[in-house]
Amino acid sequence: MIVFDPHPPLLRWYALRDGKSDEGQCDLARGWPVAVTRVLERPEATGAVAYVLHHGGEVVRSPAVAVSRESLTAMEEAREFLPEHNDLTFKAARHGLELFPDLAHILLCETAFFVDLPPEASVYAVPYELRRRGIRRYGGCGLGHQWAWRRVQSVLPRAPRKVITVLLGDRPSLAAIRDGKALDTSIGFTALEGVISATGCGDVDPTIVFLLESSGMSLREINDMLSRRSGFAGLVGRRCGFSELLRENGPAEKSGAREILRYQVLKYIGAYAAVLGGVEAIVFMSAALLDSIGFITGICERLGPLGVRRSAAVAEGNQLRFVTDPSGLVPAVWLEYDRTKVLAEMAGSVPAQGDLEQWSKREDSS
Amino acid sequence: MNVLVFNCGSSSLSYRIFQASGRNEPRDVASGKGHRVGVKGTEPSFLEHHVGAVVTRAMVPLKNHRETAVLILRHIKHTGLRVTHVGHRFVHGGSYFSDSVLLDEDVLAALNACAPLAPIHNPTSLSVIEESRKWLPEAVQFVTFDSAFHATLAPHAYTYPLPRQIVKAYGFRKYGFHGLSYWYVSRQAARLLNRPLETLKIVACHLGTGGSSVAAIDGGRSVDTSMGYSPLAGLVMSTRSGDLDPMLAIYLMGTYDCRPDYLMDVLNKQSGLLGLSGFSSDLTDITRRASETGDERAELALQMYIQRLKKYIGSYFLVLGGMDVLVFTDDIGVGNPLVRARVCQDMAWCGLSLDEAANRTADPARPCFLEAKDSKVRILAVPTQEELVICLQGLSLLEGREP
Repeated sequence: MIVFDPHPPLLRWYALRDGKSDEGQCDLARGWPVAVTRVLERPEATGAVAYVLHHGGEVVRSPAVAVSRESLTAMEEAREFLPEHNDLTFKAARHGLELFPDLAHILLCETAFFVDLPPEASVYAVPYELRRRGIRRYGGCGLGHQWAWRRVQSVLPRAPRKVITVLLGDRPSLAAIRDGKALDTSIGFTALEGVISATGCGDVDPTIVFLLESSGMSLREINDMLSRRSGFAGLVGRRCGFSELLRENGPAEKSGAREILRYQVLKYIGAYAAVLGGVEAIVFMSAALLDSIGFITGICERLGPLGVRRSAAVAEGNQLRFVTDPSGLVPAVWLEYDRTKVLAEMAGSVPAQGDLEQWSKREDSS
Repeated sequence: MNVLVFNCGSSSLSYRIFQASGRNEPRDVASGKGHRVGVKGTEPSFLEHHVGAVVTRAMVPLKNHRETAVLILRHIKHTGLRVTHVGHRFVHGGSYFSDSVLLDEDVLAALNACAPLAPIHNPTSLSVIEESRKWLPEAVQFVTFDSAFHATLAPHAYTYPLPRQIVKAYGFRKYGFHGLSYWYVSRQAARLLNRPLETLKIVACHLGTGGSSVAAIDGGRSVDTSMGYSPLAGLVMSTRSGDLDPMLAIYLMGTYDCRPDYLMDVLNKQSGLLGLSGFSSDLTDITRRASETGDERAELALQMYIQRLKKYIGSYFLVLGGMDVLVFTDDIGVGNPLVRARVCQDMAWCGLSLDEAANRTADPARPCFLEAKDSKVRILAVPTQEELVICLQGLSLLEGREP
């Protein structure tokens, strides 16, 4: 499996073969780098090629779907939603389909899990005149949230129906999921909305935008300030990632950014408990448990009113670990968030071409 | 002394005249309210006056707050009541005011500088202040602020994570509003529960016909609230959008060349319930149409109003680490049983269980407990008395003591 993930102006790739992972980045303008071509030239080892689409708008409705040249053309309507990123994705996919027509090609979409959010979550309370211009909550990082939902189903002794998923990292986000369907998520029209991030301000009073504008800042400057110079960076005074934010006695310590993130995550969990009408499991995802365990247990200690038991019982081993006492009414679990593996697993859930034909026949007959 | 209090809501103008002497609770001698001031709905606006048990009501067009204030001041002049003091509610005192003040030219200049902070409220309050000075030139005037109650918020609750120098230059932070109302209803809740305020965890919903907000109150101190730097943030309101992606504002101005003042006006005056339903900013209209005709847009507006409120209640339940009482107040809070019923639906997880019959028959004019026997959290609908709070704060200002 190889996955292409756009990070303009470059295209990152992750390869997963025989249990080993490899990664790199390439510049599409300069053609396929040797490493990638080598991976793709051994189809038997590659299996499938996946491409991450960061924003599918209302066009791409499946989180993971096999694509052909025809179906891809129809999906390219989604380009406009995030032109810089989406251009790279579609270019790579077209390229891949052309060069290796016999491989399975899969489009992974970060917003598709949220495309059918209920209206009370997807709609903004603005006049229809504005809403009809595509203004709605699209969400983001849907692949991670959906993956976490799937994983937690098999991990807990009793499969939970109402789950809150918390993705921690430089761009934290949360989702409320019931019976596999997303009911709400913190990322909105863009990734600026939601909880504080490494460089983004998250939820702020929109009046601020107007005041900045009337003081003479250009829209570009306001955009740059809110999305690239705010968040942890704004509070700390320089760039600061999630793992650095958590470091004890680090430069971020006095900035208050960690406490703000903790507090905002807590508030979203409470809000999503209301959306779900109660919660049966809370799933935290982060890259490294050792770094974030203190932060996560700090949140869990304040989830007592939800039925989370305070004592932190972290099982050892590489498998999933409980952050809280699993005998509590509501278990909090931690999942290692390794983007390569998450993307590969999500792509792997798409039936291979042969299966797909059988599957569609079954659909026809039913 | 006779204290006339003006309470400028976004779609109403209330007044009340209190007779105050010594240490006794001020006695309410006359009052009235202009309803649906400047509202675009199917129901007409009207003005009512109460003197003792006598109520007069006039169906008059109330185009704006200034005209309504003139009608009220003229009425008061006719009654022959001598007004010695006038108190005003001012929504947003920004960083200029953290407490009540007596009005003078300097204060008036500072209030004018605050006007853009709350573009719906502050200019209307200023117009009422101007008319009061014109009609009652001898009276002492004072101003109280809605943002003052939330001065107790901790940095993690009030900080907007923007570059430090920007925050410093502009004074960006969460201020929060409806403070006079929260001050009053939290004390009322403690009195009615017969428990010290210091021990109570209260989630209070101030649901007005114009603006609405929620506050988390721990031991009488505000720890968080849904409005922000301005009254635009938070709940879905009658014409305000409440929370939305700040990028939307940038996107709309950039892509569709929306003028900033036009877009600001859309988000403040044409959004919320009005923008969602397309026909009314009045929740009464919307609930009626939703239940009678099943109108999709009316149902969406109602559902979004309820859902946003439930999310804040859930948040504040965790922020407080529990909840002793959920308080509903102001016109919709005490007057709309359907809203309370839907808010409390599927909320057993945080201990809420509503007594349907008690909820349906609750008297909007009196405090009512509405929880079922098995409810872990008390549910209270209580009319707010912002005017009394304004009067009390004015009296303490004049005497230099704590209210």
